[in-house]
Amino acid sequence: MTRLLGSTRDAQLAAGLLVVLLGTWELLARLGVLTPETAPAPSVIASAGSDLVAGGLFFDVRITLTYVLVAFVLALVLGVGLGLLLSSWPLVAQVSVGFLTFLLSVPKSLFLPLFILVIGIGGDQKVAFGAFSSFAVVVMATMVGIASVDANLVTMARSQGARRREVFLKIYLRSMTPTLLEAARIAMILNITGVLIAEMYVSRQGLGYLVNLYGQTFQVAPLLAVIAVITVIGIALNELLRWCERRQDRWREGI
Amino acid sequence: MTIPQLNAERTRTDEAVIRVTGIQHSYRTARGPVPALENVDLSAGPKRFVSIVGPSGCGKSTLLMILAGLVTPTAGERYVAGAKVTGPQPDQVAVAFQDACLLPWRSALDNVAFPLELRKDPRAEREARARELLEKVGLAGYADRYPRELSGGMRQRVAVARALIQRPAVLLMDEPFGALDEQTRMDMGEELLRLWDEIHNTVIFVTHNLAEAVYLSDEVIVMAARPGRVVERVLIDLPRPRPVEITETEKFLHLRNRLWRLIRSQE
Repeated sequence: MTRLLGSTRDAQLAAGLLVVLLGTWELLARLGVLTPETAPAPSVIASAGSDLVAGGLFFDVRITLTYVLVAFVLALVLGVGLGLLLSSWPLVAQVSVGFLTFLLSVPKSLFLPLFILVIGIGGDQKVAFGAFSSFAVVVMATMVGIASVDANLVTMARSQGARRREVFLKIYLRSMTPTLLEAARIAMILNITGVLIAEMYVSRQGLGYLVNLYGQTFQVAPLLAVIAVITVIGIALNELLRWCERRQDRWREGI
Repeated sequence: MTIPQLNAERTRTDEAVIRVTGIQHSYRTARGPVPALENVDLSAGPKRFVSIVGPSGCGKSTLLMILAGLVTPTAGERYVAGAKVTGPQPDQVAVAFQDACLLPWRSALDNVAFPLELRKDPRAEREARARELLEKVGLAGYADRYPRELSGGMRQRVAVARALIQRPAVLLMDEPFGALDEQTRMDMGEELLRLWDEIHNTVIFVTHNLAEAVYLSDEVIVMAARPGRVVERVLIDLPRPRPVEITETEKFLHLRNRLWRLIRSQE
């Protein structure tokens, strides 16, 4: 996997580009080229952001972040569990991979009304929908991961006296770790999307709710401020998981 | 008269460190069972170096996996140190596989220490032993390298070190040098003999290279295919230690040619 921001020089370039973009935007806004109602200047967005923080933005951040993380753990545990279960029988595995591929291509948001009918509009619905959005990816990755475990390594471990549990932990799970971490990263993105969509659809709190609120009331500066906060959270979670990937990937990349 | 004979028989079988008798094995395929091994008996005494040779498809690797307890034969019995057993016996039997079978996410040191980790030995102890064995196979400076950073020959040495860390009474080797080039293969053979002089356990070595079999072994078991069976047991009465030059002596060539003729005659 190539790293987008591999070296310090790349990072500096990216930061420089961001500054130039924001500067140009600010300039165009001040010169009156951009409409202040739909494209407010970065400085205006920033001050709207600080107003939001003073008004209790972190409460909503905490709500959404909690939903996202609970949904993530749920999707991971249930997804890996089901993936392992389905892989126990070759025929079942074969059939379910086809089914999962189909499921992956269906837009999950279509099921949102059904979730509201069945679970309601509370926090559990946001968590359930978030987990549902990423679940299939984790199941799929688990099954692909299991299928790619080198059978010779299993034989080797058995010859040295490894029991079922040790074979599972030290050979299967370890072989699958890169695939699972990559799936976790994609699952996290899908989770965030799922939770936010559920919040935008029906809710009284959370970042998705704020996006919907400011959009509906035509308050673009706070709307963009919330979007910026969501972007930062998304990048932070993604980078955290990438860091985990790199940490355990050292044996593949060499020194 | 019968009693001494019986005793003689018992002594002989008790002496075998590893023994299989009446092995039948067939593979299940869509077109019905295919016989892989038919009525195979094999035993190896203590401190014997035994090679198994034969054409591809004679079931020599399957036989080794049966000896290792990793494949359960359709019929037949297996004895390790006189006891009838099934399944792997990691305290007595170690296996070195065809491709080194190292765990790619572990350093050479952690790969060698793996069997001791499974035995739940304390970390310090197993690392000290692993270092000792890496040194023995000439890889003292490579403890922290990952398999992908090692050459084919080095990987195979790590695999041998990992097998030896089990202190096995029997070491089973499945064409361990098969994937190496000819020069490395000879070097590895020479090194294996040097190591074996020190450890002096029982080795059963599967190969299709007849010169390698003669050079290493005390006895060579010749197998034939369709169905897999033992054709003959050839004693290799060359003196030890064996310098590489021994491969040019008349006796060596004579033995190798004899093996070659035995295999040819079965085709």
